[in-house]
Amino acid sequence: MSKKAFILIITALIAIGAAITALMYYNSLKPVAFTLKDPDLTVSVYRTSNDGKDETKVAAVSSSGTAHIAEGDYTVRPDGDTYDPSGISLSVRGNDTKITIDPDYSATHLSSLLTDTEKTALNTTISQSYPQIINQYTINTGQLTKKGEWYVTTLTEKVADNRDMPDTYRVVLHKENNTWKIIGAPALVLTTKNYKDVPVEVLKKANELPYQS
Amino acid sequence: MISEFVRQHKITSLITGVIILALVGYFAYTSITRAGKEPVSVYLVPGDATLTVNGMSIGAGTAYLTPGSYTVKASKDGFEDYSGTITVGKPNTTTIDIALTPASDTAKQWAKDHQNLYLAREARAGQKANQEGEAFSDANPITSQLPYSNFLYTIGYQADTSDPSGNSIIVTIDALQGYRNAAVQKIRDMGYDPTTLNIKFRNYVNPFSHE
Repeated sequence: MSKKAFILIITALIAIGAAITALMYYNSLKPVAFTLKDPDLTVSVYRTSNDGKDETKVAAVSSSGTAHIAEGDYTVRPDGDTYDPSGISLSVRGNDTKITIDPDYSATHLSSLLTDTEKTALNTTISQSYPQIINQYTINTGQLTKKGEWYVTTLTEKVADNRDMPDTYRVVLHKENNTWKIIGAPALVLTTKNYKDVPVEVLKKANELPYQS
Repeated sequence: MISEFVRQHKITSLITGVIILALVGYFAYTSITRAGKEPVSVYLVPGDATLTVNGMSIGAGTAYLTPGSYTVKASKDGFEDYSGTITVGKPNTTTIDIALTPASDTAKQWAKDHQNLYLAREARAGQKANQEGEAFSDANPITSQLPYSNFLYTIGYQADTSDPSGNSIIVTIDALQGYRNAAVQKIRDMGYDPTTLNIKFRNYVNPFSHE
Protein backbone atom coordinates (compact mmCIF):
# COMPACT_ATOMS: atom_id res chain seq x y z
CA MET A 1 0.00 0.00 0.00
CA SER A 2 1.39 3.40 -0.87
CA LYS A 3 2.01 5.96 1.81
CA LYS A 4 -0.66 8.24 0.33
CA ALA A 5 -3.31 5.51 0.46
CA PHE A 6 -2.36 4.67 4.04
CA ILE A 7 -2.77 8.29 5.13
CA LEU A 8 -6.11 8.49 3.32
CA ILE A 9 -7.37 5.38 5.06
CA ILE A 10 -6.27 6.57 8.49
CA THR A 11 -7.83 9.98 7.88
CA ALA A 12 -11.09 8.32 6.77
CA LEU A 13 -11.12 6.10 9.85
CA ILE A 14 -10.56 9.08 12.13
CA ALA A 15 -13.32 11.03 10.39
CA ILE A 16 -15.73 8.11 10.63
CA GLY A 17 -14.89 7.62 14.29
CA ALA A 18 -15.44 11.31 14.99
CA ALA A 19 -18.76 11.24 13.17
CA ILE A 20 -19.91 8.19 15.11
CA THR A 21 -18.84 9.78 18.38
CA ALA A 22 -20.67 12.99 17.51
CA LEU A 23 -23.78 11.04 16.54
CA MET A 24 -23.70 9.03 19.77
CA TYR A 25 -23.31 12.22 21.81
CA TYR A 26 -26.13 13.93 19.99
CA ASN A 27 -28.43 10.94 20.49
CA SER A 28 -27.64 10.96 24.20
CA LEU A 29 -29.01 14.50 24.47
CA LYS A 30 -32.68 14.75 25.42
CA PRO A 31 -35.06 17.61 24.66
CA VAL A 32 -36.04 19.59 27.74
CA ALA A 33 -38.87 22.11 27.44
CA PHE A 34 -38.13 25.21 29.51
CA THR A 35 -40.87 27.69 30.42
CA LEU A 36 -39.50 30.91 31.90
CA LYS A 37 -42.31 32.86 33.48
CA ASP A 38 -40.62 36.27 33.35
CA PRO A 39 -39.50 37.60 29.96
CA ASP A 40 -36.35 39.05 31.56
CA LEU A 41 -35.40 35.78 33.24
CA THR A 42 -32.41 33.77 32.08
CA VAL A 43 -31.19 30.61 33.76
CA SER A 44 -28.18 28.32 33.74
CA VAL A 45 -28.18 24.57 34.12
CA TYR A 46 -25.51 23.02 36.32
CA ARG A 47 -24.37 19.46 36.88
CA THR A 48 -23.14 18.85 40.42
CA SER A 49 -20.02 16.80 41.06
CA ASN A 50 -20.33 13.49 42.90
CA ASP A 51 -19.07 15.00 46.13
CA GLY A 52 -21.63 17.78 45.80
CA LYS A 53 -19.05 20.52 46.12
CA ASP A 54 -18.64 21.74 42.56
CA GLU A 55 -21.05 22.70 39.84
CA THR A 56 -20.33 22.67 36.13
CA LYS A 57 -22.47 24.78 33.85
CA VAL A 58 -23.82 22.67 31.01
CA ALA A 59 -26.42 24.93 29.40
CA ALA A 60 -27.76 28.46 29.35
CA VAL A 61 -31.42 29.18 28.66
CA SER A 62 -32.39 32.76 27.83
CA SER A 63 -36.04 32.29 26.89
CA SER A 64 -38.79 29.71 26.93
CA GLY A 65 -38.02 26.92 24.51
CA THR A 66 -36.25 23.60 24.17
CA ALA A 67 -32.68 22.82 25.15
CA HIS A 68 -30.92 19.51 24.59
CA ILE A 69 -29.29 18.10 27.69
CA ALA A 70 -27.86 14.66 28.46
CA GLU A 71 -29.81 12.44 30.82
CA GLY A 72 -29.01 13.04 34.45
CA ASP A 73 -29.74 15.24 37.44
CA TYR A 74 -29.10 18.96 37.36
CA THR A 75 -29.68 22.18 39.21
CA VAL A 76 -31.20 25.19 37.46
CA ARG A 77 -30.35 28.62 38.82
CA PRO A 78 -31.52 32.06 37.72
CA ASP A 79 -28.79 34.32 36.43
CA GLY A 80 -27.99 37.69 37.95
CA ASP A 81 -29.00 39.27 41.25
CA THR A 82 -32.67 39.94 40.62
CA TYR A 83 -33.98 36.49 41.38
CA ASP A 84 -33.64 34.12 44.31
CA PRO A 85 -30.50 32.09 43.54
CA SER A 86 -31.89 28.92 45.14
CA GLY A 87 -31.51 26.02 42.76
CA ILE A 88 -34.39 24.16 41.20
CA SER A 89 -33.88 20.44 40.68
CA LEU A 90 -34.09 19.13 37.15
CA SER A 91 -34.09 15.43 36.35
CA VAL A 92 -33.71 14.64 32.65
CA ARG A 93 -35.11 11.25 31.73
CA GLY A 94 -36.43 10.27 28.33
CA ASN A 95 -37.84 12.68 25.77
CA ASP A 96 -40.63 14.27 27.78
CA THR A 97 -38.93 16.47 30.36
CA LYS A 98 -40.57 19.81 31.09
CA ILE A 99 -39.70 22.43 33.67
CA THR A 100 -41.28 25.77 34.56
CA ILE A 101 -39.04 28.36 36.19
CA ASP A 102 -40.83 31.06 38.18
CA PRO A 103 -38.47 32.15 40.95
CA ASP A 104 -39.17 34.78 43.56
CA TYR A 105 -37.05 37.88 43.70
CA SER A 106 -33.86 37.85 45.71
CA ALA A 107 -33.74 39.45 49.16
CA THR A 108 -31.46 42.15 47.77
CA HIS A 109 -33.81 43.03 44.93
CA LEU A 110 -36.84 43.00 47.23
CA SER A 111 -35.03 45.38 49.60
CA SER A 112 -34.39 47.74 46.71
CA LEU A 113 -38.11 47.72 45.89
CA LEU A 114 -39.03 48.76 49.45
CA THR A 115 -38.55 52.45 48.83
CA ASP A 116 -39.52 55.18 51.27
CA THR A 117 -42.55 55.90 49.10
CA GLU A 118 -43.61 52.29 49.31
CA LYS A 119 -43.11 52.18 53.08
CA THR A 120 -45.27 55.27 53.46
CA ALA A 121 -48.01 53.72 51.35
CA LEU A 122 -47.86 50.50 53.40
CA ASN A 123 -47.94 52.26 56.76
CA THR A 124 -50.77 54.50 55.61
CA THR A 125 -52.80 51.44 54.57
CA ILE A 126 -52.29 49.88 57.99
CA SER A 127 -53.07 53.09 59.87
CA GLN A 128 -56.21 53.80 57.89
CA SER A 129 -57.45 50.24 58.41
CA TYR A 130 -57.32 50.48 62.22
CA PRO A 131 -57.68 54.17 63.06
CA GLN A 132 -59.10 53.58 66.56
CA ILE A 133 -56.26 51.54 67.96
CA ILE A 134 -53.23 51.93 65.71
CA ASN A 135 -51.77 54.62 67.98
CA GLN A 136 -51.37 51.90 70.61
CA TYR A 137 -48.96 50.05 68.33
CA THR A 138 -45.64 50.61 66.62
CA ILE A 139 -45.71 49.74 62.93
CA ASN A 140 -42.37 48.08 62.33
CA THR A 141 -40.57 47.98 58.99
CA GLY A 142 -41.19 44.63 57.40
CA GLN A 143 -40.19 42.81 54.25
CA LEU A 144 -41.45 42.47 50.74
CA THR A 145 -41.65 38.88 49.62
CA LYS A 146 -42.35 36.71 46.54
CA LYS A 147 -42.10 39.19 43.65
CA GLY A 148 -42.69 42.25 45.77
CA GLU A 149 -46.48 41.94 45.66
CA TRP A 150 -46.66 40.63 49.24
CA TYR A 151 -45.50 42.50 52.35
CA VAL A 152 -45.21 41.20 55.90
CA THR A 153 -44.56 43.18 59.02
CA THR A 154 -45.28 43.33 62.73
CA LEU A 155 -47.22 45.67 64.98
CA THR A 156 -45.83 45.90 68.49
CA GLU A 157 -47.96 46.99 71.37
CA LYS A 158 -46.69 50.15 73.06
CA VAL A 159 -46.26 49.45 76.76
CA ALA A 160 -46.09 52.04 79.48
CA ASP A 161 -43.43 50.32 81.53
CA ASN A 162 -40.30 48.69 80.15
CA ARG A 163 -40.94 45.70 82.39
CA ASP A 164 -44.24 44.96 80.65
CA MET A 165 -44.08 42.52 77.77
CA PRO A 166 -45.79 43.76 74.60
CA ASP A 167 -47.84 41.62 72.28
CA THR A 168 -46.57 41.53 68.70
CA TYR A 169 -49.04 41.10 65.86
CA ARG A 170 -48.18 39.91 62.39
CA VAL A 171 -49.85 41.42 59.35
CA VAL A 172 -49.86 40.60 55.64
CA LEU A 173 -50.55 43.03 52.82
CA HIS A 174 -51.04 42.31 49.13
CA LYS A 175 -50.63 44.72 46.23
CA GLU A 176 -53.56 44.60 43.86
CA ASN A 177 -53.96 47.04 40.97
CA ASN A 178 -51.08 49.08 42.41
CA THR A 179 -52.88 49.46 45.75
CA TRP A 180 -51.89 47.80 49.00
CA LYS A 181 -54.58 45.90 50.88
CA ILE A 182 -54.44 44.14 54.26
CA ILE A 183 -55.32 40.46 54.02
CA GLY A 184 -57.27 39.31 57.09
CA ALA A 185 -56.72 40.89 60.49
CA PRO A 186 -53.35 41.24 62.21
CA ALA A 187 -52.85 38.32 64.56
CA LEU A 188 -50.36 36.90 67.04
CA VAL A 189 -49.70 34.05 64.62
CA LEU A 190 -50.87 33.61 61.03
CA THR A 191 -52.01 30.09 60.22
CA THR A 192 -52.97 28.36 57.00
CA LYS A 193 -56.34 27.57 58.57
CA ASN A 194 -57.23 31.23 59.12
CA TYR A 195 -55.49 32.77 56.10
CA LYS A 196 -56.39 30.40 53.29
CA ASP A 197 -55.86 32.96 50.53
CA VAL A 198 -52.28 33.77 51.50
CA PRO A 199 -49.39 31.64 50.14
CA VAL A 200 -48.01 29.52 52.96
CA GLU A 201 -44.47 30.78 52.37
CA VAL A 202 -45.73 34.34 52.97
CA LEU A 203 -47.38 33.27 56.23
CA LYS A 204 -44.20 31.54 57.34
CA LYS A 205 -42.15 34.65 56.59
CA ALA A 206 -44.55 36.77 58.64
CA ASN A 207 -44.43 34.36 61.58
CA GLU A 208 -40.64 34.26 61.47
CA LEU A 209 -40.28 38.04 61.84
CA PRO A 210 -38.65 38.69 65.20
CA TYR A 211 -40.52 40.13 68.13
CA GLN A 212 -39.92 43.82 68.56
CA SER A 213 -39.63 45.16 72.08
CA MET B 1 -66.39 -30.71 19.61
CA ILE B 2 -68.14 -28.80 22.36
CA SER B 3 -71.58 -29.49 20.91
CA GLU B 4 -70.69 -33.20 20.75
CA PHE B 5 -69.61 -33.09 24.38
CA VAL B 6 -72.83 -31.33 25.40
CA ARG B 7 -74.92 -33.85 23.53
CA GLN B 8 -73.20 -36.71 25.28
CA HIS B 9 -73.36 -35.14 28.75
CA LYS B 10 -76.72 -33.33 28.72
CA ILE B 11 -77.43 -33.36 32.43
CA THR B 12 -73.90 -32.38 33.46
CA SER B 13 -73.87 -29.56 30.93
CA LEU B 14 -77.25 -28.33 32.10
CA ILE B 15 -76.21 -28.26 35.74
CA THR B 16 -72.90 -26.54 34.88
CA GLY B 17 -74.74 -23.96 32.77
CA VAL B 18 -77.18 -23.21 35.57
CA ILE B 19 -74.36 -22.85 38.09
CA ILE B 20 -72.44 -20.49 35.80
CA LEU B 21 -75.56 -18.42 35.16
CA ALA B 22 -76.29 -18.28 38.87
CA LEU B 23 -72.75 -17.12 39.66
CA VAL B 24 -72.82 -14.48 36.95
CA GLY B 25 -76.21 -13.33 38.15
CA TYR B 26 -75.00 -13.18 41.76
CA PHE B 27 -71.91 -11.13 40.93
CA ALA B 28 -73.96 -8.82 38.71
CA TYR B 29 -76.57 -8.36 41.46
CA THR B 30 -74.02 -7.66 44.19
CA SER B 31 -72.07 -5.26 41.94
CA ILE B 32 -75.21 -3.28 41.23
CA THR B 33 -76.68 -3.31 44.74
CA ARG B 34 -73.35 -2.61 46.48
CA ALA B 35 -72.21 0.13 44.15
CA GLY B 36 -71.24 3.22 46.19
CA LYS B 37 -71.65 1.39 49.49
CA GLU B 38 -69.12 0.63 52.19
CA PRO B 39 -68.85 -2.80 53.86
CA VAL B 40 -69.64 -2.61 57.57
CA SER B 41 -68.85 -5.57 59.81
CA VAL B 42 -71.67 -6.26 62.27
CA TYR B 43 -71.05 -7.99 65.58
CA LEU B 44 -73.99 -8.60 67.89
CA VAL B 45 -74.19 -10.16 71.33
CA PRO B 46 -76.57 -11.96 71.72
CA GLY B 47 -76.48 -12.94 68.05
CA ASP B 48 -80.28 -13.14 67.77
CA ALA B 49 -80.92 -9.63 69.10
CA THR B 50 -82.93 -7.34 66.85
CA LEU B 51 -80.70 -4.79 65.13
CA THR B 52 -81.91 -1.91 63.00
CA VAL B 53 -80.00 0.75 61.14
CA ASN B 54 -82.19 3.78 60.36
CA GLY B 55 -85.13 1.46 60.94
CA MET B 56 -83.85 -1.17 58.50
CA SER B 57 -83.31 -4.59 60.03
CA ILE B 58 -79.85 -6.15 59.55
CA GLY B 59 -78.11 -9.18 60.98
CA ALA B 60 -74.62 -10.04 62.12
CA GLY B 61 -72.04 -10.42 59.36
CA THR B 62 -71.35 -7.78 56.75
CA ALA B 63 -73.80 -5.06 55.76
CA TYR B 64 -73.32 -2.68 52.86
CA LEU B 65 -74.28 0.89 53.65
CA THR B 66 -74.08 4.12 51.72
CA PRO B 67 -71.71 6.62 53.41
CA GLY B 68 -73.56 8.82 55.85
CA SER B 69 -74.94 8.94 59.41
CA TYR B 70 -77.11 6.17 60.78
CA THR B 71 -79.11 5.58 63.95
CA VAL B 72 -78.36 2.11 65.26
CA LYS B 73 -80.73 0.36 67.65
CA ALA B 74 -80.47 -3.09 69.17
CA SER B 75 -82.83 -4.88 71.52
CA LYS B 76 -83.75 -8.26 72.94
CA ASP B 77 -86.05 -9.32 75.73
CA GLY B 78 -84.23 -9.37 79.04
CA PHE B 79 -81.50 -7.01 77.89
CA GLU B 80 -81.20 -3.22 78.01
CA ASP B 81 -81.97 -1.55 74.72
CA TYR B 82 -79.06 0.01 72.83
CA SER B 83 -79.21 3.18 70.72
CA GLY B 84 -76.34 4.98 69.06
CA THR B 85 -75.14 6.59 65.84
CA ILE B 86 -72.39 5.74 63.41
CA THR B 87 -71.01 7.57 60.40
CA VAL B 88 -70.21 5.22 57.54
CA GLY B 89 -67.33 6.46 55.41
CA LYS B 90 -65.57 8.15 58.36
CA PRO B 91 -62.18 6.58 59.06
CA ASN B 92 -62.17 3.73 61.61
CA THR B 93 -65.95 3.29 61.51
CA THR B 94 -66.31 0.14 59.51
CA THR B 95 -67.87 -1.90 62.30
CA ILE B 96 -71.04 -2.04 64.33
CA ASP B 97 -70.07 -3.91 67.49
CA ILE B 98 -72.79 -4.15 70.12
CA ALA B 99 -72.99 -6.28 73.25
CA LEU B 100 -76.28 -5.75 75.03
CA THR B 101 -76.25 -5.41 78.81
CA PRO B 102 -78.27 -8.16 80.53
CA ALA B 103 -81.11 -6.91 82.74
CA SER B 104 -83.24 -9.92 83.70
CA ASP B 105 -82.00 -12.89 85.71
CA THR B 106 -82.33 -15.13 82.68
CA ALA B 107 -80.30 -12.71 80.57
CA LYS B 108 -77.66 -12.43 83.24
CA GLN B 109 -77.34 -16.18 83.40
CA TRP B 110 -77.08 -16.27 79.61
CA ALA B 111 -74.32 -13.65 79.69
CA LYS B 112 -72.48 -15.63 82.36
CA ASP B 113 -72.70 -18.77 80.24
CA HIS B 114 -71.47 -16.87 77.15
CA GLN B 115 -68.80 -14.73 78.76
CA ASN B 116 -66.43 -15.53 75.92
CA LEU B 117 -68.61 -13.50 73.52
CA TYR B 118 -68.39 -10.43 75.77
CA LEU B 119 -64.63 -10.86 76.20
CA ALA B 120 -64.18 -11.11 72.43
CA ARG B 121 -66.08 -7.87 72.04
CA GLU B 122 -63.83 -6.16 74.58
CA ALA B 123 -60.78 -7.40 72.71
CA ARG B 124 -62.13 -5.95 69.45
CA ALA B 125 -62.88 -2.63 71.16
CA GLY B 126 -59.34 -2.51 72.54
CA GLN B 127 -57.83 -3.21 69.16
CA LYS B 128 -59.95 -0.51 67.54
CA ALA B 129 -58.95 1.99 70.25
CA ASN B 130 -55.29 1.21 69.63
CA GLN B 131 -55.70 1.73 65.89
CA GLU B 132 -57.53 5.01 66.40
CA GLY B 133 -54.91 6.14 68.89
CA GLU B 134 -52.10 5.42 66.44
CA ALA B 135 -53.88 7.27 63.64
CA PHE B 136 -54.43 10.24 65.96
CA SER B 137 -50.78 10.34 67.07
CA ASP B 138 -49.53 10.04 63.50
CA ALA B 139 -51.72 12.97 62.45
CA ASN B 140 -50.75 15.09 65.47
CA PRO B 141 -47.18 14.34 66.58
CA ILE B 142 -47.10 17.52 68.70
CA THR B 143 -49.52 15.89 71.16
CA SER B 144 -46.63 13.74 72.43
CA GLN B 145 -45.18 16.92 73.95
CA LEU B 146 -48.41 18.42 75.19
CA PRO B 147 -49.64 19.68 77.54
CA TYR B 148 -46.69 21.95 78.28
CA SER B 149 -46.89 24.36 81.17
CA ASN B 150 -44.71 26.91 82.96
CA PHE B 151 -45.62 29.84 85.17
CA LEU B 152 -46.12 32.11 82.14
CA TYR B 153 -48.20 29.99 79.76
CA THR B 154 -49.78 26.60 79.15
CA ILE B 155 -49.96 24.92 75.75
CA GLY B 156 -52.56 22.17 75.39
CA TYR B 157 -54.89 20.77 72.79
CA GLN B 158 -58.49 19.80 72.22
CA ALA B 159 -60.31 17.87 69.51
CA ASP B 160 -61.36 19.82 66.44
CA THR B 161 -64.99 18.79 66.10
CA SER B 162 -65.28 20.44 62.70
CA ASP B 163 -63.10 17.69 61.20
CA PRO B 164 -65.21 14.58 60.45
CA SER B 165 -62.11 12.36 60.50
CA GLY B 166 -61.77 12.91 64.25
CA ASN B 167 -58.01 13.23 63.92
CA SER B 168 -57.62 17.01 63.95
CA ILE B 169 -56.76 19.10 66.98
CA ILE B 170 -56.81 22.70 68.06
CA VAL B 171 -53.69 23.76 69.96
CA THR B 172 -54.78 25.93 72.86
CA ILE B 173 -52.65 28.57 74.54
CA ASP B 174 -53.38 30.09 77.96
CA ALA B 175 -50.87 32.84 78.64
CA LEU B 176 -50.23 35.84 80.84
CA GLN B 177 -50.55 39.17 79.10
CA GLY B 178 -47.49 39.74 76.94
CA TYR B 179 -46.38 36.11 76.83
CA ARG B 180 -48.56 34.74 74.04
CA ASN B 181 -45.79 35.32 71.51
CA ALA B 182 -43.43 33.43 73.83
CA ALA B 183 -45.84 30.49 73.86
CA VAL B 184 -45.89 30.46 70.05
CA GLN B 185 -42.09 30.54 70.05
CA LYS B 186 -42.13 27.56 72.40
CA ILE B 187 -44.12 25.59 69.82
CA ARG B 188 -41.42 26.48 67.29
CA ASP B 189 -38.73 25.41 69.77
CA MET B 190 -40.52 22.05 70.07
CA GLY B 191 -39.87 21.62 66.37
CA TYR B 192 -43.29 22.48 64.96
CA ASP B 193 -44.19 25.27 62.57
CA PRO B 194 -47.11 27.21 64.08
CA THR B 195 -48.11 28.30 60.56
CA THR B 196 -49.55 24.85 59.87
CA LEU B 197 -51.32 24.37 63.21
CA ASN B 198 -54.80 25.39 64.26
CA ILE B 199 -54.04 27.62 67.26
CA LYS B 200 -56.55 29.17 69.64
CA PHE B 201 -55.68 31.62 72.38
CA ARG B 202 -57.88 31.23 75.45
CA ASN B 203 -59.19 34.18 77.46
CA TYR B 204 -58.09 36.48 74.67
CA VAL B 205 -59.73 38.78 72.20
CA ASN B 206 -57.83 39.97 69.14
CA PRO B 207 -58.13 43.78 69.27
CA PHE B 208 -57.80 43.97 65.49
CA SER B 209 -60.77 41.68 64.88
CA HIS B 210 -63.16 44.08 66.53
CA GLU B 211 -61.95 47.31 64.95
